[in-house]
Amino acid sequence: MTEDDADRIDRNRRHFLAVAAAATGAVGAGFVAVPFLASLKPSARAQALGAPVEVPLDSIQPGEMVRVLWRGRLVFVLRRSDAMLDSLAEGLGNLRDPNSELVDQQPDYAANETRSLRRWKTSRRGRSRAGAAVSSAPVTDPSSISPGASTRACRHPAI
Amino acid sequence: MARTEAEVGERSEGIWGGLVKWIDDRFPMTETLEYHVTKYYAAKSFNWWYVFGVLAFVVLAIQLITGVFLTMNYKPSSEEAFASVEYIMRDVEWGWLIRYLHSTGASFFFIVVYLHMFRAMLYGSYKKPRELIWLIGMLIFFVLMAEAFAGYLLPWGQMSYWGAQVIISLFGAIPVVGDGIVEFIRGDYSISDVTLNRFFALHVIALPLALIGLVFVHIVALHEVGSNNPDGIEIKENKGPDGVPLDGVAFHPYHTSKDLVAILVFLMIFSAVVFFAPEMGGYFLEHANFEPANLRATPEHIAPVWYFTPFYAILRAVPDKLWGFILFGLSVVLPVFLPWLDRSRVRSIRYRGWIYKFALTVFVISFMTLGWLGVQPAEGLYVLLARIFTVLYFAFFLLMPYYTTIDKTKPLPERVVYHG
Repeated sequence: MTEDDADRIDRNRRHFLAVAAAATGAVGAGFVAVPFLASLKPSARAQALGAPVEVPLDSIQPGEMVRVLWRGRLVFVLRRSDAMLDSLAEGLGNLRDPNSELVDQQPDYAANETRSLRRWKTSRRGRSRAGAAVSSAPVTDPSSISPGASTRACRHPAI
Repeated sequence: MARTEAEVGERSEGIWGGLVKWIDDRFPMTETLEYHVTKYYAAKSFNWWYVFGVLAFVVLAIQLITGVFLTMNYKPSSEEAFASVEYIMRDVEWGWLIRYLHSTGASFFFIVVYLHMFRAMLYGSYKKPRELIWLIGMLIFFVLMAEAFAGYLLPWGQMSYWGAQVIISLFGAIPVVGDGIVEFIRGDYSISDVTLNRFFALHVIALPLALIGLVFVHIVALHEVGSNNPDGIEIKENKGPDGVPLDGVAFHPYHTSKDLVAILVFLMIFSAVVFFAPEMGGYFLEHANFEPANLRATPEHIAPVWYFTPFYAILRAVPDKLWGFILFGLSVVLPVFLPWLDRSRVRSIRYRGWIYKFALTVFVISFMTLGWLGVQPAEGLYVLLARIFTVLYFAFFLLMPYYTTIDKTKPLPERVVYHG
């Protein structure tokens, strides 16, 4: 190797080294970011506290409503009486969206006239889950602040 | 070595001069002071619109100082937060004053910053070569919004809780990843102790640090290109033999002495609110927030604090969840692009034609009306009005490249002009 060669700067090599070092650093920074970002996810304690809540439906009398807190939301469990279920049919004509087709607020399985998973009446089936309607606090749904929805009740029943 | 007379005259003698020299040899103290303060030349034709930058700095100082003292007695836990704020209000000596200074400071921060931004729109301060100052300023505004939003959760009152619930759940409107993002922000399945604790960390450490850093960069960028003025002409184009702009005067003592008057007037108004109307009729401190957060009952009417209401009104004006969220985000972000939307050849409103003056008036009316609509219930006529003014708000920005091109401008003066 002549003296001339030794003095010459190999710019390609320098560029490659710079890019390689930067890329390695970026990958390292990416790995280091994982624990910090993951620490923002719900912790084990939060997950445990957010576990499913059990509600003994057997003890709910027809017409009775039970309120439980699940993941910071109020869940209303109402066991509708026969009279309440029968009265649904009378009001159908007054409802804008009886089958929950216009506004996406009900899960698919409850998008029906009785807004429930099973549509049987208390008299026809066992007393356990019959006619139980479950709904959660509507205000947590952003659609409830849109003008179309906000005219509907955004408040919970008085407690 | 003997010094020339000129050199002697530059620095005071004695112990003081010696100390200054000792520091200057190790740290660019005098150089920095001269560059940013005593030899920073800004137009002598500044009017009162030019005090809001300094006032924003004053409010920042108020917020930092009162914030540190509040932190000494506040407890960031869902069990204790509300009670600790009550404790500050009732049992800590002068605690009520420190807290009212902080809560009033939050609202005044936005008043001052909105006026500061409006000044830039009046005189085209965002236009070339000051685009970067405007961009950094918009970043400051975004951080300030986040800071205010995080701070509002801390008292753990009804409106803290339900306001945060509504705003955070907005991110749920984003398709696919929305629910994940919402959970990620809260760190829980609902707003909880976890959320409160992390918002506290953001409010007292992360965001203030970002804010101070950005303010520093904002000022460095400003001093690099120089301040604009009510005529929107470059004072650097007319320099005297000493290299100082003929229409410029040093920031200190000339602008600082005028700013001191503004600061005093500001503090009078600020104190009047702190002492006589800290709640400002429910606009600075919402009435529902005097009740502790209750997961089982929503407040009668959920509305954000007044400084977010223009954007909130836009959000509610759109019937669709996702589009509402998109327009809400756009309405906040659009001002970022002002330097490139504005195609006018002149900066200042003084030399623009009637079209821009008309557009700016419509924009101001829209912004204020939307702010008012944001605290009204979203029903009936209010919804219609919100939609009309949303369209006008967006039209101001989106049509700007067109109307600033056809607007007839007046010839610019050689030197700055005084008006009274």
